[in-house]
Amino acid sequence: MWRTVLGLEWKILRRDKAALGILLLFAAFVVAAAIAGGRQADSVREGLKRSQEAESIRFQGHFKELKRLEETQEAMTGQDPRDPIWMGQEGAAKIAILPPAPLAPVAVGQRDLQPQAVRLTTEDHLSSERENETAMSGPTRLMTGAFDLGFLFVFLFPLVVIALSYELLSGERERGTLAMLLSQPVSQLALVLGKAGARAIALCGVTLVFALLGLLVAGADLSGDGAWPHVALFAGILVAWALFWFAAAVLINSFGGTSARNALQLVGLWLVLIIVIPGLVHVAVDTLYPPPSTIELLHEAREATQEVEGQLRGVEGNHDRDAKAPDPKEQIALKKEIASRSEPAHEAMDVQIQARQELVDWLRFASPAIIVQLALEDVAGSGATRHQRFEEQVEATHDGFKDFFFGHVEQDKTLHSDALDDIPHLSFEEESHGALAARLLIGVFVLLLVALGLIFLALPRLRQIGRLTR
Amino acid sequence: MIKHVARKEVREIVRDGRMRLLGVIVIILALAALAFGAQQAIRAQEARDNAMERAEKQWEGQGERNPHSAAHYGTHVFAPTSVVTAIDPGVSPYLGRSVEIKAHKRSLASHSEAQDSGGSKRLGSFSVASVFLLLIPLLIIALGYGLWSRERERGTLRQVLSTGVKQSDLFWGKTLALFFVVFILLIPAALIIVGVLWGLGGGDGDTLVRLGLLALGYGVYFGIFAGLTLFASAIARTSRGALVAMVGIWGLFCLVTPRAATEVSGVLEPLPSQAELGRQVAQSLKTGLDGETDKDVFVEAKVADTLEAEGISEDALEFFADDAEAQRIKTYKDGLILKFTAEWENVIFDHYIKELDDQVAAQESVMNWVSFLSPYVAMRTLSAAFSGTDVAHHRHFTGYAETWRQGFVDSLNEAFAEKAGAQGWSYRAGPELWKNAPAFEYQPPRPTYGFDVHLLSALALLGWLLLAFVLARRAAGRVKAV
Repeated sequence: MWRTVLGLEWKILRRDKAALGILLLFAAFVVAAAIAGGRQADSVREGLKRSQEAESIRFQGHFKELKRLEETQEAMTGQDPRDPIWMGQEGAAKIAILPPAPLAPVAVGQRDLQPQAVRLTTEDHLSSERENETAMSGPTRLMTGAFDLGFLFVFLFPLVVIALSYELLSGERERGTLAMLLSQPVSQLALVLGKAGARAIALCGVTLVFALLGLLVAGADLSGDGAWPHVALFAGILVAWALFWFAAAVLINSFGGTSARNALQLVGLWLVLIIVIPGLVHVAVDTLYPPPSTIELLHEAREATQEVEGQLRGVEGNHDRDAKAPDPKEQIALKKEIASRSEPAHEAMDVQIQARQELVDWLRFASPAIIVQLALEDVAGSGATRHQRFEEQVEATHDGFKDFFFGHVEQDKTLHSDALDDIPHLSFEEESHGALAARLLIGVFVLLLVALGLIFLALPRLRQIGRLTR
Repeated sequence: MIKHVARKEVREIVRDGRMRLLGVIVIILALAALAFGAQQAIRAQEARDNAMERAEKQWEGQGERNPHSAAHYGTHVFAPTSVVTAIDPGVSPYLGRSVEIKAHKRSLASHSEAQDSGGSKRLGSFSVASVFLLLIPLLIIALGYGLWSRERERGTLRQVLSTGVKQSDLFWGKTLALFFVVFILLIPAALIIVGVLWGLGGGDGDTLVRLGLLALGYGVYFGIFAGLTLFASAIARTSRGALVAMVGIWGLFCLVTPRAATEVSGVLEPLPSQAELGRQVAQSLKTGLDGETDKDVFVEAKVADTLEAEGISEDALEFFADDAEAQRIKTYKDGLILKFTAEWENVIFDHYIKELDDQVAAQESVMNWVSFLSPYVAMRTLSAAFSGTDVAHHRHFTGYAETWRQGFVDSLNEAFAEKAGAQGWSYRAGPELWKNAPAFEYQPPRPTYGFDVHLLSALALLGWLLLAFVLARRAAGRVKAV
């Protein structure tokens, strides 16, 4: 019975030029979006590679120079790789990198707002040391958001589902074919669910095939660690999202309204879930936990450290050619003092960011669209959680980095060629696949649950669609 | 006749309970957005006042210091805020709000709101402008998609036309009705918006001009969607066809085109990476824009020329090695070095930042052309421009900030050269000097500044209006009764 319905619907779909047109247009958008997302991911990847190459050349140079100096024992000069002060400030700057995830082209997410690499030096605030090798984005582009798969799936995909399903039942009725269909040996339930199922399978199939194709063209790294589990999660989110919308369409169709009314109601639902609620969530987060202002942080830090900073700038802003070089230990002591005084302001900021993130984690359940958007960003490795992890790991490495060079100064040691490898650097530790999957699967589960709930609500009416033929 | 037609249509829309509900919901959303926008605007204003006060206090309370050290310590200046941002924050959340002012460095504006908010901005923007740009067109579509087609489906169109009513009368009646309903819904909202902005202290002439321009722009924008909806309703065979087509067009205008177009503008006018820009600037600071002039050679030559022109011989320095006069000359020379170094640096910073700004402006101008593909893009651009929250206004501000930075650093370097005298680098200036530093008095451009930059978008918007009405009017003339 189900096979008959699916088979018939499949035939109808193949001959429905409008539906095919919509599917093909969407497939073309999917490929284009994958390529656009891939371009962005590539530009990040290339930028990071340039930074890493430059760093490696710089360190090779230091190594050779150190070897030479260790033999000749020349006196120390201005920019000397043996000098821990200069090396910590500039010479041995290490670039901490957040590597693009295997499915990076899926969503730009926060990648164009948050730094993908940070230059570690002994400076206190790393905020001014964002080594951004990624091409800058114009503000209008940042505001508009990227044309990537994340956008297509969150915004357009539901509209495509609506276009394919708003007249599931009402169309048959308006064309007068409903009575004929019901005279066939199929149950009333199977008729509607079969029709919706056939369309869902066609749409998900086409979308997944073209998305995968697009990702391959866009240069997604499918051989990388965790690539296929990510693809599976990606497919799971997409299917759950499609089922949610088909279920909503079935429910609305079950009321027996006209096609125009169904379309209007579904577009209304789309508007509420995708534009209005996410906007309100943003309002709620900003009102309950206003974003911590980095301007304020800057001033807090500046005021807390004013005298010390003043002494330091006094040392740095002195271009007197006859002045003696500042005492390294004094310089280090001043920097440590600045760091410890500005610490409370930094901590308060971290707490606020954390609170905001937790609130967003909860409020995402307010709309399935937010669940899907955040899940796609997570799959693409451009979500808030991953950036937060990166920031934390950078902070920890930065502390180690400072200790390394400050320790050298305090113990009157110079840098040795063997010590270059001991300079702390970051190799980013990814969240375990299990933790990521658990977070995403909760979302998928919620979507499926809601979809089931919608179908359940529709069931009593679906069993009596015969009434609509009157 | 037109009046009768309009009255009948208005009555039908008003009688439809769902439309009443829809209208009320949209207005509530607009007012909620206004409340949020107003709260944000107040907070931004307070934050700016607070930050400016603190920056000033830090600058004046920095104690005794060598003037050039003070230039290293520097200060910060902040982009102005305006009550109109309560309506449309435009691109301002993605632009830096503060500029660091210090010697030897032109900083890009930094600390954008979007970076601070950790990306929650991306969940969705919620402002009066986004309600007007996205939701009201959908409301217009919902109100108007059946104006022709529903009558045709019911068969009343044939009856009406058989009474000898002119199609043009029907067209104007329906158009009038649609406009009337939309305006009845919007006028209370508009009055509340003006009231709230007035309460926030935006009663000045500039704000009123800005609001007037916004009202005019949005009026035209809504007219475009009304015209297109009437057109679709007249030519579509069924109401659902008209509705689905209009929602599709809305999606194309408001969702797909802006994103696709900004991607394209990024490909056509790529920006460098910040690191790349930094490397270029660093290289040019050493070897000049031509890549051949050594900075030190340039500065020394300039200093030597100046000293020679003033009749000061460097040999004298050697001769009076321990003399206070020699020390004074040495200080004067150091002052000149600072002055010419700054001159050298400024030329290079100006060059690269202008290049960057021009590239961003080129991207913006691509978007102006895209206005011809989507009225949404046209109105979004104009809305930000009239609210003073577009890239052009930002550039106006950063341009002033840089001019001021150069004057500020120069004044400190001059103070060093003139006052340090025999004390040289151990000279310390006090609070009087800090207080006398040039004041940062930025004047935002006049309200019609947006037209200068976005004339194309304004033309595109008017073109769309014309097109929509010509299409709607012609379709009305040929409307099929069955």
